[in-house]
Amino acid sequence: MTTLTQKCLAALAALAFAYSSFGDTPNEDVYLAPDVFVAESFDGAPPKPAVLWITKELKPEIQKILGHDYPALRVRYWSEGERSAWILEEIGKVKPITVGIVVESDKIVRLKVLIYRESHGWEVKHSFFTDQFKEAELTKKLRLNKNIDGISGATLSVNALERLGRLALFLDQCRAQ
Amino acid sequence: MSKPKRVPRKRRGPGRALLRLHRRVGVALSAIFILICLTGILLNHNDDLDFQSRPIEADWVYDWYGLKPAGKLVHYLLPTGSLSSLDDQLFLDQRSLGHFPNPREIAVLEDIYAIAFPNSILLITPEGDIIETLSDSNIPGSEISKIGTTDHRTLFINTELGQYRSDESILVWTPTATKLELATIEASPAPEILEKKLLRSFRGEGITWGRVILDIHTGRFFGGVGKWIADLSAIALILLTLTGVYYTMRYLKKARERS
Repeated sequence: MTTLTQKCLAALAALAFAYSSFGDTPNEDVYLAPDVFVAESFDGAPPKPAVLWITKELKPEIQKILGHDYPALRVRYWSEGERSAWILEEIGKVKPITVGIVVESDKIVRLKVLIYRESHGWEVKHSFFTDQFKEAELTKKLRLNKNIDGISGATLSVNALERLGRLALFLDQCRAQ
Repeated sequence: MSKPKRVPRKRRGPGRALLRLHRRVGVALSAIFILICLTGILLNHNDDLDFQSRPIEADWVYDWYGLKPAGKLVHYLLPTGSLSSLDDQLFLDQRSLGHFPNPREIAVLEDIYAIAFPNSILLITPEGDIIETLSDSNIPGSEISKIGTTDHRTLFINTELGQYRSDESILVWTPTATKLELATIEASPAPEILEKKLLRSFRGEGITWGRVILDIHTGRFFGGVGKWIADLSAIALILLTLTGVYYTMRYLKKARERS
């Protein structure tokens, strides 16, 4: 076999491997550990966690935001002064996406995808997308006051992140009251 | 000299071979035809006999359909009821709490059941409402080997980093100075009635008589091969009908000639 033929075969095998593994993602992609996110959000010195109980009064509003009930009776958060950090989860298509959100003065200052478990739509992890949430506020109708541009092929994940952004802003308002 | 009388030759054409085939196919497939006809009659009266809403009780049918849990039932007896895990599905009594791994142990606090998994803890009310799921980032260490309590107000966990005690809100963990013996609930055998009920919950709505009869009728009950056998039987039935009509017409023609 000539060297050229060997090279061609090797290139074909590499292409076949690349093609067969295209679109495959591991079951769980941890982009940033939740505790690291919390530490980063408070300059390396995270405050003690606190909890917000999902009372009967909050349930209908949360239902309006998420389209379903919050799957627990309490939400853990970390706060210092005006700033609060939330680790929230929402299902994109079939699996939950774990997102860290920092709210300060009723505005989102940071939103980061921490753990992604879906097979598609992982593009939402990129900062070009998550940076759109910066400075977003909650309107009286419990919607974001700015438009979030979607990503084709990742609509469900985009919607999930938008819901979580609204939820974090709402929970922060409840915490402050 | 007289010519010998001509004896008409017996015709041995394809007609006779076809008759043989007609008989053999008819006898060979008679059991399948009867099964298809009977299930067809039953399907025709599906609504009258209410087959679609009547679930089957026989366990072997569920096993045949593959609705059999892969793992064994793990059961914990609680002060008010019981907690069971079957194929990554967690049940408080018979109510499903969702999908979770097999629990390690359970600690009973005043108004909370704390269920320990290898690297997370689920807090629920005695009524089965989920209070919070503590993920690995909310607990010290990476693997819980034991969970328990000494005062029914705070939680203790043993991890590879040592023993930790929570505050009363189960938010903050502090290492214990000396390792304490913990009161915990370990797995115990489940009552037979509960096991049967959980198996039914695991199977969901169950399989109805209507579904099984339809699957037998179409051959799907017997897998991929069954579908093809049902198809071939249907084609054979068409051929038998045609050959049957052919022989009846031939018989009638001969009968007319004889008379």
